Amino acid sequence: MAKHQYAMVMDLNKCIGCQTCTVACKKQWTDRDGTAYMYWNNVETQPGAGYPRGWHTAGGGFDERRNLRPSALPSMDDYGAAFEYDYGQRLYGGSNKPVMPHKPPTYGVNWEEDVGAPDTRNPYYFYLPRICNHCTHPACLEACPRKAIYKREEDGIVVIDQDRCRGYRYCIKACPYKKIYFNEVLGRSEKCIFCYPRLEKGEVNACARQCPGRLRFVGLLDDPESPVHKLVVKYKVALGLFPDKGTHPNVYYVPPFSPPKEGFAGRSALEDPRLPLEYLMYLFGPRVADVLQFLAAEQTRVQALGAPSEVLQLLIGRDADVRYRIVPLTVRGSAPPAVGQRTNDTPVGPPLTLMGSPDKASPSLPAVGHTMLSPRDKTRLAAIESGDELDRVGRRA
Amino acid sequence: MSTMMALRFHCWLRIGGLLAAGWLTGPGLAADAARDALTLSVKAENVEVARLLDPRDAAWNEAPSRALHFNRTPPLYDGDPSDDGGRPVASVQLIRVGSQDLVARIHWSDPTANLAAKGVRYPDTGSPHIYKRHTEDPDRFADAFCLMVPVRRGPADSFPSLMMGGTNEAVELYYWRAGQSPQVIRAHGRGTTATTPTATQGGAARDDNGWTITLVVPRVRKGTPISFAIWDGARQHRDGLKFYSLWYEVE
Repeated sequence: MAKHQYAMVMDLNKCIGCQTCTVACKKQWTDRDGTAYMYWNNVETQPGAGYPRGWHTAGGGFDERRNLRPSALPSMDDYGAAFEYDYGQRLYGGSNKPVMPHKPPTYGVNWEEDVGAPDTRNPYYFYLPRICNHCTHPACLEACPRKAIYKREEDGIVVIDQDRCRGYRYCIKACPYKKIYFNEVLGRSEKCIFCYPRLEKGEVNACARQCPGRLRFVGLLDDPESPVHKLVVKYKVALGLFPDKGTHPNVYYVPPFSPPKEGFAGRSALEDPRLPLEYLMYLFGPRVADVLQFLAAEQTRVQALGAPSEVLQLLIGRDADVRYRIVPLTVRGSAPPAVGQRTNDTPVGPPLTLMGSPDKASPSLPAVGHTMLSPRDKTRLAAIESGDELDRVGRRA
Repeated sequence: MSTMMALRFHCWLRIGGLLAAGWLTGPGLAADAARDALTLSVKAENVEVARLLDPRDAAWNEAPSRALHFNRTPPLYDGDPSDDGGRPVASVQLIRVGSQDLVARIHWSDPTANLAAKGVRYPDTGSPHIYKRHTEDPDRFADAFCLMVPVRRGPADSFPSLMMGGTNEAVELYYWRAGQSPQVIRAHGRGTTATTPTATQGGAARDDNGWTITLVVPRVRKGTPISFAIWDGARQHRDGLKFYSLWYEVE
């Protein structure tokens, strides 16, 4: 049983599918031999078959009686082999042939975007960024016959012990989100590690740090000051993906709601949403309607009454210290790990009381969540804080 | 105490013998014939090991061959492929070299050759490339073979558990995977297998019917229990999903 649980919230209202998070993760972790086809973080265009193809309905997770229901192993055709380009012949070889993937692609990590053929009867789409969900009840952990997968006690991050893994791939069959990948060169399975080496130094995950849309929130679920606690537990506006798969994912999504508009024939936006409610409920469960209504009501309250809204202010999340609350291990009342010692062997002291806001942390730690405002924004912020100007949601500071 | 263990040993032998005999010639055999069914005879040869490592070497023509019988492990997990009834047709020959070492030559039928993959090299296009090797097929498994002997060799009062031995019955596994050199693995119970850095020798040859491999097994005395396992990559075999044999005894 993990003592604490790191979680991530992704606000789908802000994702523009730029894939910066994907590239950040790839440059950080999957630029090694055998990892070309892996995208520990990927951004899918929904509705779509996803990556790997058909993972929504492939299987995995638990059934109602808590039995594992493994799927078949995805093949390279389902992932899409990484494209390979021969730039040399085009740039230096004097050839006039266009630079094309070495083999005609039949699938890829974001196939719907590459093909670009919407359903013209009802064209709509949104982006769904995905990482390993570091589930509370990981099916992968239960499936491994060698117990090579473990959930870190101190923060709930699920990792694969690369010394114990022998590449049997029962974990890949068991994962309902298909977020474990087999490295053929090493003969072992790999997955998102929630950037735990960065978290242990007080730095936030690479995907979150790089996101230009500022849509990711990271913190401990049981830390009342963390943004994820507020969004998931307090205001309950963030929902897990496919909750009926039975693993209790710890990556949550604020469902995308349409911008305020008049619906067709005078109906409200909730009655005639850009994104069909049934599809959102298929992804995030039945609470989507409640969340959308709550957020719409908050917006109305702010705009009509000028009342402050903590949840909307949080979702705006302009500043990094609003979006991230990383509590490094060294802050948590236990001794820092000795050099070379595995951090999850670090003895945990008395019940952990989380420290105050990051700026009260030990001065030797890197400043967490420092903002990088332009001079113009600094001026504007000062004006808001002095009460001279309303900020975007109409709150007079 | 030792009488109890001897009784247990005979029970094992009888049960195993009956099972093995049932596969060979039918029920109701005398105990001697049952015992022969489990014994693997060894030919002593004054041939250097390097020659014997080649499965095609003529020295193997004279060594007596014994058919091996395999069963498939029951499916342990949902999603494991069910038993399609197919069994490899296999045989073993043993030649003793030196005072204690054995070279084993095993042939088994496998219509498809599934080699262990180490990733595929990208073609060299002359431009710098961050990936040198890439994963080609994340869902393929390799053909493999393993020979298991207890760490404590010699005649046993009781056989170790077929499931990788036990806490006080460590086993040594001579493991070959198609396309790789053999490894020595140690285990003391299910889930405890760990590759050792010990080097070992072996050879492999492929024909249309299947594989023939050779493995050097050191320190095998008369009466040492020995058992075998075959993994068929085409059937997605790995871990405990495999064909396995019961314990035999080296003569």
